[in-house]
Amino acid sequence: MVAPGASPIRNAGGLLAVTSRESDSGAGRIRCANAGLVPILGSVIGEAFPAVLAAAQAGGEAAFATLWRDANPALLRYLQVAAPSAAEDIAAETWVQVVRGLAGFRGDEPAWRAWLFTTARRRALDEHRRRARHPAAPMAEVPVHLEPRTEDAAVVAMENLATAAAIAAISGLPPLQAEVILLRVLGGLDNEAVARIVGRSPGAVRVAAHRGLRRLAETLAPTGVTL
Amino acid sequence: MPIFPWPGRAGVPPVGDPAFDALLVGNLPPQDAAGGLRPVAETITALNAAPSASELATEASAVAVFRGAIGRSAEPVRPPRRRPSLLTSLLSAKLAAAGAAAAVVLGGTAAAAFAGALPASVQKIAHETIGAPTARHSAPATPVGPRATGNAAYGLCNAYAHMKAHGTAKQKAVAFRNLAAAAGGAAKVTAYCASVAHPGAAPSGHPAGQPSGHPAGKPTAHPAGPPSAHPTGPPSPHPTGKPTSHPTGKPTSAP
Repeated sequence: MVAPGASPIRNAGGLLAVTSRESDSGAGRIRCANAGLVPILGSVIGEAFPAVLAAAQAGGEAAFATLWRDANPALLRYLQVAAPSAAEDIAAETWVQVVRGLAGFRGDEPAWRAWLFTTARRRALDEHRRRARHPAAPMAEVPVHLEPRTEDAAVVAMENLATAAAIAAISGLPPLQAEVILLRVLGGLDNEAVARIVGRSPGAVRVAAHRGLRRLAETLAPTGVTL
Repeated sequence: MPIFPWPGRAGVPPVGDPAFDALLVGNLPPQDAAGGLRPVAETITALNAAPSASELATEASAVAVFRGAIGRSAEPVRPPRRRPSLLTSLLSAKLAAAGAAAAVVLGGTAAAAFAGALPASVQKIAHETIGAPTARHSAPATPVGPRATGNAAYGLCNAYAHMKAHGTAKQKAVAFRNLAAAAGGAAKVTAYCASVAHPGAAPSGHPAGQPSGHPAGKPTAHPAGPPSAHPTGPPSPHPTGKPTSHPTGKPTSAP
């Protein structure tokens, strides 16, 4: 069991781990939440992150591709809850912005992920504001039948039904609880980092996350059917 | 709380329980979770499932965006006019290693961007980064001012130069149309490409006729030349259309 507040770090081969040795599940796995059956999100960065980042900042495309592959799926999944009908577009815009600021970025991997998700979140908020001002304006700039083939946000998730179900379940939570859970799980961010992003105290973030998980438990609990 | 027969409610801890913190950091797998939390643990595991193909589908476009912005991000801002050497050497080293395939990929992507053939979301990115037209139409109604002067103009001029050297006639026409639109007219294209840090070739022989910026009617001779996607140097701003000598390539006659 990990002490509350222990900072998760990104570890080679895994999305999350805790620094304490107690995190080892006994099977030698770094990533304890992984039952070993489902491959984990994210490619191997971890200790290699500083080198990969530096290579990308120097213009290395392979390094950038590594960073992109590592984070884009998580960004998409976050955005499927934060801005469901515009997830693909906002993810793409996020990367444009990140590429522009890439050379000036300084920080470790948690800081990098915080920056990515902060950027995505801001764009999602912008999109909501835009829609509030122009409710009649369709998201697509071209009529659907003329639009080049593109993946619908919902379809993206459906390739992995379990992931789609998870996203759907979290989408049913109150916004703050959903967002906090996603930023912690998908973003691999700790309470402090999430608190900065959503503008609440770390304590409030922790409570929101717990409440969200409790609500998930109640929603997902089988009703009248014993397992 | 009433006691119900199903296991769910009985196994859900209160807010503040360390089990939730463990779930959030990935430290509580489903098989270790108490009954009521098992579905939640499974949900979290599913959230972290391996990427699907569609979630990685736009990688090439993202890398193209990165490539298009490389001149900006790879160097300090301070020496704005010194950029060609680093950019050129970066790209030439890369392309020398990767061979013509890289140029074809870049050309293909740029061509797709300018032809409006990319998925809408990616087209939008190409629009923002390299000034490719938006998905709405292949040539903007008003000249699209480049968001970042160097990048968009560079992208447009370079794409045209590349299409001239390697593209089909249709691709070349599309690239020139977009370039002319961004420049504010076919007549302004030469000046437009002359103003960027990494310009491609000034246009010549485009389907609509000779650019009127060359009163002599002769095409300027700054093609993309070797099969690389990087520009060969500043085009000549002279109205006579004589090629200027430039550091990274030889002027050749227009193809």
